[in-house]
Amino acid sequence: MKKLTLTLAALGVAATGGVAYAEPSFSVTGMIRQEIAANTGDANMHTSWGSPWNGRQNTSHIGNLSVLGLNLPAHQTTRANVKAEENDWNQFATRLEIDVQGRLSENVTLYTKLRGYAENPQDDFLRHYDYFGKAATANGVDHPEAPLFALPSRVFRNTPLDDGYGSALENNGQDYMLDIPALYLDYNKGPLWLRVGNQQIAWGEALFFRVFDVVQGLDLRRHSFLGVAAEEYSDSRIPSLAIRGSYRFANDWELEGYAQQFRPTILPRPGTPYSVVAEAFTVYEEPGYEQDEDDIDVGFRLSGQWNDIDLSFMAVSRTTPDGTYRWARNELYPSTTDPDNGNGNGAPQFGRRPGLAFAPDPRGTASADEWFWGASWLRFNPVTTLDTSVTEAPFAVAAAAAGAFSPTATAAQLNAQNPGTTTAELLAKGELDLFFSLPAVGFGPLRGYLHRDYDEEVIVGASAKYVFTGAPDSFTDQLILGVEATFTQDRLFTAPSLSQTKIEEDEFTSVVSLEKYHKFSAKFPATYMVAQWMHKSESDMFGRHLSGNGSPYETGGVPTGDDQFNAVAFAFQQPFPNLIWRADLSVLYDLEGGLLVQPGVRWRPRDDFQLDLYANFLDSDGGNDDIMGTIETMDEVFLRASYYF
Amino acid sequence: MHIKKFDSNYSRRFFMKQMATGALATGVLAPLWSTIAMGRTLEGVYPDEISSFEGLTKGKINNGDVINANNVDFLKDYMDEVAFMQVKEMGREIDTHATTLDPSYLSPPDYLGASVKNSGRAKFNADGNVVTDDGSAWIGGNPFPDAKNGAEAFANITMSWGRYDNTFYAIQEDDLNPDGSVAYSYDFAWIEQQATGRVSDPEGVYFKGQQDTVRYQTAWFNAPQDVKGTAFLSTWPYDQRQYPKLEGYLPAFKRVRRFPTNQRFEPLLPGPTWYLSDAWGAGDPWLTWGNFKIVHRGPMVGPAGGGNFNSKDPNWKRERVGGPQGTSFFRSDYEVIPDVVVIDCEPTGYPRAPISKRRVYLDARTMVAYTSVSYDRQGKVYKNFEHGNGMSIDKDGTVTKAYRGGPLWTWNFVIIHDVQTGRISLPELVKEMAGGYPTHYDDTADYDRYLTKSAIRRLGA
Repeated sequence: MKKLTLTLAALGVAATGGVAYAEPSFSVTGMIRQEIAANTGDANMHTSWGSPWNGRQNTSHIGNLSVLGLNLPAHQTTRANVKAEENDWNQFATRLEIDVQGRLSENVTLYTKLRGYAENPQDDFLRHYDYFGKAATANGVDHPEAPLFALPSRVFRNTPLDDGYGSALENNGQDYMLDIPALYLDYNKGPLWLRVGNQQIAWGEALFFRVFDVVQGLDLRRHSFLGVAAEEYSDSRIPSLAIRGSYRFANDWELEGYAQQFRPTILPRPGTPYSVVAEAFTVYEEPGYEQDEDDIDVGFRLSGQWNDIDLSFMAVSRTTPDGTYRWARNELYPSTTDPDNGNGNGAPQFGRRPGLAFAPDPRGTASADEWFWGASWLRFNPVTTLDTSVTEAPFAVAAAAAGAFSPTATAAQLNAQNPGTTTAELLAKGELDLFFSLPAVGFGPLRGYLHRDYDEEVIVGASAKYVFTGAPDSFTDQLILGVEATFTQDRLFTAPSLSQTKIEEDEFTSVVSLEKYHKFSAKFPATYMVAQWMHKSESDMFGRHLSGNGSPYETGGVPTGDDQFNAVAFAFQQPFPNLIWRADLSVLYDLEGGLLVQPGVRWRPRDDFQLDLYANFLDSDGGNDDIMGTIETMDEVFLRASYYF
Repeated sequence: MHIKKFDSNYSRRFFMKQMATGALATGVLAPLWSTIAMGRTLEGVYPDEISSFEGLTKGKINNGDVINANNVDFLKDYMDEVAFMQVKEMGREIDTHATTLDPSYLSPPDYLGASVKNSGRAKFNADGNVVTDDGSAWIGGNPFPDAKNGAEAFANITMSWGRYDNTFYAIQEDDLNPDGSVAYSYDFAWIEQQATGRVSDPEGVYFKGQQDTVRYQTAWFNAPQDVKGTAFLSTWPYDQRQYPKLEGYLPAFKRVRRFPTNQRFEPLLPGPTWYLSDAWGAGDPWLTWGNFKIVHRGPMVGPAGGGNFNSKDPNWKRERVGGPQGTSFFRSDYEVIPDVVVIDCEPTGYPRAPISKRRVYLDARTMVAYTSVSYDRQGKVYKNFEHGNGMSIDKDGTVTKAYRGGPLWTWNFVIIHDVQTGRISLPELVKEMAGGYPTHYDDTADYDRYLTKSAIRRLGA
């Protein structure tokens, strides 16, 4: 037997009119899997080691400030001396999963899953990065900025939420995580079902796109969202402590509901191969999380059949797991040196500038050109981000003390006096390069600080599914048409200016899908095909507001914005006889020019072994307006070898 | 005591005449169905020449002997060609026992009772579906216990599979490589509920009073690890021209999805050589098949009665025999089935099905299929699907009182042998599957436990 069955009870006798579920019974199964991904793309440009600006010299735009009467000589800015690296392996991990299933009584069952995951970076330079979060606060590795201020090293890194734990039942270290993604009791009696404990909740049926699937955020620390597309985030959804239940009415309509503790999406950790937040930024995740950690999300879904159509209606009140971002004060020495907090000793700590949204960091952004490129690449506005960072309330005093100004306001003022004097962009570049000047004049390279907030919203939605019954072997023979749509009133989005004031708009999200199994050959199992179209009215697939889209890729610039997001996905699976082999292809295409192609094969020669070999090809046509633009270097070939026991 | 007054070719002439005239009347010496309806045994229904191995082989093989490569030639005309090949060429051995004469050992009691009670009330409506004389959905038992043609016979085996209102079959399955080694092992439950034609339910013959559904059926896998929680729920419309609705929970998705259901010739998971279409010899809505034709009548040998159960194993696991490693087949127990109706039918509603026809062998005593053989599109033998029907009685006669204080009628095992690839699947009914779920019958609570969309979501790991 390839499983361990612990049957505590004497085996019951087959029964009639009632089951002999007399004694508790438990079964234990497990899996160990090696997961490796070879990097076939380029270095991750969100990292210091992969930044295209490493060591790059730029001529400053400081001369743009001459319109303000500042005649400073142009100089060369040089990005920090971080050694440029390109990793061979994006992932080299070992996973262990152990499931314990228990039937405790006729109506109560127990399920628990223990998951261990150890990353073993094969590239030396990656070994001092914290892959999972807790080490960033507890066991932080040295960081080059630390000696600069004689500070503990961790302050420059992300301040991960919940002390670095991704979910309620998790422990982790720099290169491992151990969690219990499932630990729940099920109670079922008649049409009533209750599930209590740590659990995943997955709604909706769309591939890639999460329209109805709004209950939980994603844990992207292990393989980002680049795992096997057909698995639909099943390993990524963040489990949460929840009560979930359903009641099925006499007409077979079912009302399902849940109440769960809020847990945010966890992004890949800074500096690691899949990270998507520039390493030159520190994101304060904890303060926002602290405010909302006790939030309880609730949701309901009513499902049933009307004529031949499967219908679902849902309503969810949640704290958004993905969160929104805004500038944050650097908070390096707020109690003693902040010039605007009234506690200062009167001696400005020039060079540190507590109270600003920046702080000097040799690995930080070093030139206006880099700022413009990076902001645009991440779908921010390089000019208004500067405006808000120096004029909005949290920073205004410190910024004024540092001589900072709003390029947009100043340009407007100058142009009002003398039309055509300058532009906000020119002033922004000049001001930025002034900041990036050596400390005698400015601050040198700067690190940016961000807050991550978790806003509340209510989502309502409806879905329908209809199966066509055309003539046998025709296109409409068992063709499944599915529609999912949601509406969120007053949804908050990160402003491309990173303002303290978020963008607030109603958002409509929908996906239309066609699914079909078609038998092309009598000798082969049917081919599964699905085509989908996703539409969002305000943000892209990753939730970034579309007003940040559209700027020159090479130089960056003020975004022109997009009106709507549209993407299509196509996937097929072709099993071979006996299902021992299966070929997959998944394609995701953002109509603005972003492409993800994921071909793969699965080999299952025995019940205790499986090999998956897949590749991710990503491409963007530039223009900073498609979803692949910020991750397009992450091409890879990945392999999973699983042993089940 | 068997009747000897007819010569040894009497029954052969009887069946040939029936085939020639196109009539299908069961019972050779006396009408089968009226004998059963009167509560009598089958002792006077069939002559000795087709009621024992001695009679059938003119003494070459006796009841109680073992069928093996040395003597199987004497039974060549009485076995399906795959089973014959397994014995002749692969070392399969089959035990034998006397022909079952007690009708209550050939069918569950309530199903038998309903067949008697409702006899003569079934007809086909204009759509070809089975209805009662007042046009209602069928009310239980064999609609056509004395079937007169292939369509009626096929309706019998499709309208009720397991012949209970509710069944929870705990199953362990090994899927073998051509070398006889085990490639895959699965623990799963096959759960059925009749939605119409209920025979034991005090609340009536229609579940919830509805007449639009014939059955609910779930296949729920509980081991190994990666398939744990995989479940497929089929809801069969009463109209047999329509495909069942198929919903599935796959651990990879973590959610219930609707699946197209016309692809009924695919294994559900890697390894198994069986399809949904194979179940009970009639796995699809029967009006999606066509060209039903009776191609043979006469005695055959096959599993029925006792001998295919094994209470000696704590989990009812059965002994195996034959094949490269001596473990490729269940050591089954055959009897002479005096009257077998062999029906050829074609998957007319499945243009790209990998099979061109299926040959189904029905035990006419109870109108249940005990084996079927599928042929590929070139007409070559593809695979068999032999289900060891019978009572919960061991080879040595030990009775396991597993149903209402007495022995249980059930399927015991299935042998599915893909003769073109040499792969064999061996699902067998066990006492309990992984997770502590026992085989059980007639539990109406199973609908809520296993046969709804929310149930398969809950069962999913």
